[in-house]
Amino acid sequence: MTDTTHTQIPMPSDDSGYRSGWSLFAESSNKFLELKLNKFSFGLTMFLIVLAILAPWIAPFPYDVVDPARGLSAPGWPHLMGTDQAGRDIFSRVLYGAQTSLSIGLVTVLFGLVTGVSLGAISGYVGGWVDEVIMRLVEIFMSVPGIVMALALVSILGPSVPSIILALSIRRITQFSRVARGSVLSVKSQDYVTACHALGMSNARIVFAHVLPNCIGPIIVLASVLLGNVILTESTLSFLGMGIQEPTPSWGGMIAKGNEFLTFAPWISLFPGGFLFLTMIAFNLLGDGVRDHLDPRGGSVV
Amino acid sequence: MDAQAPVLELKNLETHFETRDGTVRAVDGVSYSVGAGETLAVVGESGCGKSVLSLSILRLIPNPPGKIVGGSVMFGGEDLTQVSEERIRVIRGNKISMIFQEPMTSLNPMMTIGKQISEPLTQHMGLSKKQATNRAQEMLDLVQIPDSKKWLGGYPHEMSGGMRQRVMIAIALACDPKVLIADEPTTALDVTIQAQILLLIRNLQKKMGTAVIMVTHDLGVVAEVADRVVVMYAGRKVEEANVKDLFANPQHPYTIGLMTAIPRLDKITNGDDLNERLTEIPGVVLPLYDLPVGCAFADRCSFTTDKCRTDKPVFEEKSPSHWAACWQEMSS
Repeated sequence: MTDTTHTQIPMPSDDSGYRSGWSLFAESSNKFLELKLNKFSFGLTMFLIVLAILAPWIAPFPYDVVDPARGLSAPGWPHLMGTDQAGRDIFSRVLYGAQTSLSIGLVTVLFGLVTGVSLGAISGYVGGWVDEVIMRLVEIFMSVPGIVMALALVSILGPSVPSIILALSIRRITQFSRVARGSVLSVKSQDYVTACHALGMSNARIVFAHVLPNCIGPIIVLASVLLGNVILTESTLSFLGMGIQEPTPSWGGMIAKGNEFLTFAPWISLFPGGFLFLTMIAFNLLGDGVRDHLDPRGGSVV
Repeated sequence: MDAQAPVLELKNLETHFETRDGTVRAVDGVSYSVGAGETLAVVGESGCGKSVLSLSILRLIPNPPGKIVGGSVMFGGEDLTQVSEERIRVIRGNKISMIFQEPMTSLNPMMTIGKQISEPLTQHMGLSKKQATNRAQEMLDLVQIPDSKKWLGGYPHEMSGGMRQRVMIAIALACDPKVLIADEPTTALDVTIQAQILLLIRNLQKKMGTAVIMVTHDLGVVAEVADRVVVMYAGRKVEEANVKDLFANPQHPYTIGLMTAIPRLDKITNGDDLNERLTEIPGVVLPLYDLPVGCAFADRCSFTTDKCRTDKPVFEEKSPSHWAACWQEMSS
């Protein structure tokens, strides 16, 4: 690629500019990690995910063994982050909580993204009555407060992880679909989309290969913001008794439970809160980084 | 040229837009034909329907509000206004392709140049990705982009307007189309680049035998490239002639108006009065939803008679293969 001698002689077929998807991906991700900030956010994300996966091996104590004699002990040894009112090790619970919170957060956002973006893209691209129907439905769902909707759903379906994910997703679907619709509307009137039609491309191809890639920026940013949002909403559900059920830990649930002891045992809320904070920082920075990286017009200049 | 059977033939094409103010007759019964290797220029000012006309050929009019309500577009024995959506997709970009006015926005900013040229190739010609990339590079060489191999992986924002228009031409010609519709391909470019792009289109046309429909408002471009000219006004054809006849002996007052409105460089060398105003055509194009009974140009014309107000002029042959729609006889 670097030194191309320019000749008019047709190139032999193997020496073409064509490259496999994998080599492009490898080069692209190397370039992504050249930036210090991206290295940091990617590293932090990976660190949190690995912590969650390795929780059963790292955690010094089981997350559910109650020992009132050790209740509310301050951070120190052997309880690195102290214990809660029932004497359960906060550090171990934070690690196991990472499993529930991260998986609920990621799955909810991913599900909301795929469904919401599809709906929004159909709505914006097709337009007409399809747009009207989808958007009115979305508005109906938006008119009900998210937490009320989630509570209703969980109380019908029972407080299991899948039903919590479904309950939390509905709100995200509406949010993603509105953002996606707006972007699609602005992109579909661009000249290059008309040019695609003039080249005989099918609508599916135009949407997936041309319209959606140009809408990706705001969608990625929304996804990274919503991830923290979902983890916190789950805590509200827990607080109201409709979230992850005790003794299974979740960060949101731990923060909520620690509330009562905040004045004299702040570590109960502080440590899961700190991890939530780190997670949000990591995903927001990662989201920004990915967005800039995917935009060929200035990916490396931040 | 005239002896050849036409590649593309429009007959009485009518495209209407339904708006709140009424039906806009953007294209009102226009006919023309182009033969292989021929260049037909479609001329007219903004809003005369020339872009809608070229979009109508490939059925690219957004519907609603637009609709082709009458006439036919004959291509390869088929009427493009009647064929199925699948069929017209096979023709678009493959047999008939288009270049647009704005090279700056007509390319997808998120996709590499190479990929954008190969897309129609894989779709219409069934080439593998590798073959398509090779062909894409050939096309870049053909439109004279230096360092074509490097540019396959380049993005549109890294290119100048002229280079992007070359890429557009490469995409349009990649599948070796029979007809190329160029909708004001040089309007957004510098004058020097304009000449290069026109020359490029002409050379490629010669090489590939493509019929070119050059839509423009620039009579300079017409004189440069066209074989035959169709002059449009208010959605209708008002004059059609060979390019030489048209410039030597314009038959419609509108065409005459267009010609006198061109700024002329030779006035400086002739020592004429430089402060002299350019001649303009008074008034504006009438709203297309509210056209008069008679000639649509009557209000702006200096030859208007009572007949012009009441009767639509007939499109008739004024001299051999020179047609115009005007009640007046223009002397040369």
